[in-house]
Amino acid sequence: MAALKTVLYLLVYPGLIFLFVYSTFAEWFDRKVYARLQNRMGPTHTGRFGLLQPIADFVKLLSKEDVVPDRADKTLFSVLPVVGLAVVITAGLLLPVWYFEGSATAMVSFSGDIIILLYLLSLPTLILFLAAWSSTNLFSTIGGTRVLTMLFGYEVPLFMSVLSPAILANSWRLSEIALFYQHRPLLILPNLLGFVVALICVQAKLERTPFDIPHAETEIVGGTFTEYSGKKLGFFRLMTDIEMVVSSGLLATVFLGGFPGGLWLGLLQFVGKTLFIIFLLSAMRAMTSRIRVDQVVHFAWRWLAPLAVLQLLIVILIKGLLL
Amino acid sequence: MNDAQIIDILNTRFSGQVRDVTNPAVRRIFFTVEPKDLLAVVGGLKEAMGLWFLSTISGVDAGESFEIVYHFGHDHGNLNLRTRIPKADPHVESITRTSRGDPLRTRAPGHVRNGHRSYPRPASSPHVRRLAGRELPPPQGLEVRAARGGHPRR
Amino acid sequence: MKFQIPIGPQHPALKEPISLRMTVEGEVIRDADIRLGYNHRGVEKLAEQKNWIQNIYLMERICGICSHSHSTCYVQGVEKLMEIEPPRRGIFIRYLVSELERVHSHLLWLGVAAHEAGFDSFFMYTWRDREVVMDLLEMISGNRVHYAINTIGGVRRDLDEGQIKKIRDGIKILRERSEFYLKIGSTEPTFVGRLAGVGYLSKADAIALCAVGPTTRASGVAIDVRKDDPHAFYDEVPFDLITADTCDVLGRTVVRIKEVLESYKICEYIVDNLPAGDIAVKAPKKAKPNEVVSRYEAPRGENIHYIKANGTDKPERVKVRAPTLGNYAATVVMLRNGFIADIPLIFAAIDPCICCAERVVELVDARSGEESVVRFSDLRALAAKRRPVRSVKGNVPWPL
Repeated sequence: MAALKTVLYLLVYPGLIFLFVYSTFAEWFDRKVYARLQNRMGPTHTGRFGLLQPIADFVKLLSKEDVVPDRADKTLFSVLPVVGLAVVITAGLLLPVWYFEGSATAMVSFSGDIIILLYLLSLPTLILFLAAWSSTNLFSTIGGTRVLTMLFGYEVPLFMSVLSPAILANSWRLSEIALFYQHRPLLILPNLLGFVVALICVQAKLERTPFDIPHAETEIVGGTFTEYSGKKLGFFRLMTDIEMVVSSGLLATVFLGGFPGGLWLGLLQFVGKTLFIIFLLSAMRAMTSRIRVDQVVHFAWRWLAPLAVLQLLIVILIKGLLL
Repeated sequence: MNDAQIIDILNTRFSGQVRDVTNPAVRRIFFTVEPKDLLAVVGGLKEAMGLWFLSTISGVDAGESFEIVYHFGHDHGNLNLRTRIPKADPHVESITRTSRGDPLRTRAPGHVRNGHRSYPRPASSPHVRRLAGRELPPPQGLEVRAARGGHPRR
Repeated sequence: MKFQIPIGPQHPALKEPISLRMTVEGEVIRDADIRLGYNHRGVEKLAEQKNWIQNIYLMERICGICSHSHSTCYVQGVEKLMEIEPPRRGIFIRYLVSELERVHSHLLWLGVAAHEAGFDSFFMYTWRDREVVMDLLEMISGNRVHYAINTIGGVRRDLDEGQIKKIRDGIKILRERSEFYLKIGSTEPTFVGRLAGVGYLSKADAIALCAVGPTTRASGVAIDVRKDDPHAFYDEVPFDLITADTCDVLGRTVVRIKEVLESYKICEYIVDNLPAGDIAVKAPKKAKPNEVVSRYEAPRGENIHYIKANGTDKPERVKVRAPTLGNYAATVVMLRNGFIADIPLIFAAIDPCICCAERVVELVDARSGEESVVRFSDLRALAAKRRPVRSVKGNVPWPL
């Protein structure tokens, strides 16, 4: 019975199907906000208000011909999209929004799970690099090297800024961090600097403008995704969407006080807070232009890392003074 | 400098080398030069008038010969230098001032970096190689391949 | 370790086929090799088989964005050959369309450059405003592209009061938006970070390589055919020659936006001072044997047509040199020592109109370096020999 329940949780809620539906909705929201900021319409045709457009795109990709290049490493090439999808869905299971069995607020929750979540969110970057490498295409190789170069820039500030509220809350467990900020909402304010830094780093992790240099269409055709088509490309795109939802969920948990209120209210809060963060990410995407990879690293080490260190210092100070 | 002054310079300074100076419209001057005097006249014009801008080089099929027209532009209009080369031996020197000898003759893998030869085609559709007649960058540089098809005279 | 990246002939950065083969080392470009010829249509040869009037429409179709510049340059030349002078009203309307075309071309370029830099919002905004210009041009001439408003001896359509009022309103909207773009284009940090210092072309290089248009004006070289070789109209219109000193892509962007603002001034001068009268004079069918060089300032630079007549109703020789061809030599110099990430921007900054700049090329054997000239019929025979024509497979099962 428990096994059946676990399987149901893994497949339906909060697992595969819920994350699939919600991340396609988040992609719709992102595309609509981006389009409206550009004086365009965005998806309007498929389904009411174009809500089914991302699902339609996914289904279309599933039905297209799947071409594997001759000289590519076939096993690696084919397995990577699935592995990527599995990684981000697993990361999603760690978010403290699912209310079952008493007070447990995440499907999997243990001390140190914030580190595991951050690690699981770094894996897609490495998977993209491996995907680029195994494609043996010139443009993919350049895209792959750019992915790794960007990793050197944003990873450190992201870790530092996400771990600052954890340090203030004195715990490495996501549910406890969320609980801490729910009881003391004023302490969210000292973490705002970290919030801004983390937003920018998440934008870089998701490879969206201004950091979409690894798959810059006008320069290297598709970057990592040049040789991918059909189902594999569909899975990669779904992986990016779910990564966006999970990253916003992480930011909402750590910086915006989690999702209190039981099953339905908690879900509503989850939707509301993640959409707010996705709105900020879309606005950033619409308002800036792409910057070069050396400029990304320069910007990250010149501005983001020092600000993240500053945030850490603020947290340590407050911890010493108040607690 | 207006047209009259330019015609004056052409007639006095280059009297032996230039002939048939015409001025069919305001700010348009045409004159003819022998192929052997080409480099000297172009260099002299650069000195005398500061002429540096070459718009283009046209090739016209004139039956037994090719007529190459160099169109120079400057603040006071347009100066057109004509020269004729026989179809049997369609070579003309480049007016490019190249540095370090003639770097465009180096053979690079897969390419012949020589932009200066015109060469004959079968009689049905003659071909004139357009010269990159401007100061080109140092070696391993530009390879602009341009040519133009003329047509047999009706 | 050097290796060659092919940008083109098919590439998302290029709107038309051209092959740029870059030799790169890491992310730095060491050398560039430009190959033309993918879009050659034999326009010059075709022009010798059509009469003077038909050639107007042929010349227009050399390019879509700068169609009016080719047609006007040709018509100017032919009018000189036939020794006819179009009436003032015709000239004013002709150059009104020219300046509106310059506006539309520069707004298009701005959007394309923004898209190459990744700034899609800017791209969407400028192309939305381009619709205003396209609507004005459609109102004047009936077409959004290929206006076909020129005829030998004048223009084909007249302007009435209602149209003039709409032109004035349109220019007012465009002017305030263009000033907004000037602000964004020169101050938005991420965008300027992509443009500044990229594609450096020193003034000496620009002069030595005979670059034309905004590319060379951004390097401080003050040449503009409208000022140097003015036709019947440009010596009386007050406008400024825009140059910049930064010698990079940012300079070219600023030069183009400022030129757009100057074009609004010229358009307003035209509609304010439009003389009354005819719009065209009758042109003879044949032209006396003569030759003429016609120069025109297209949005991309100096457009030069060399037309030779031989007394019949068809030209003897029409030679077209579009401005982009003049900028290719400068492009190679600009690409050297740039980054791969800058290739689309550097190439887009010369405003390439590749189909204008097509020339016949010779075939080079990749292994031996032998050059040869091959007839088209021989190429077809070779292709047919290598790959026999297969019949199309019917009733292929749908994969789903």
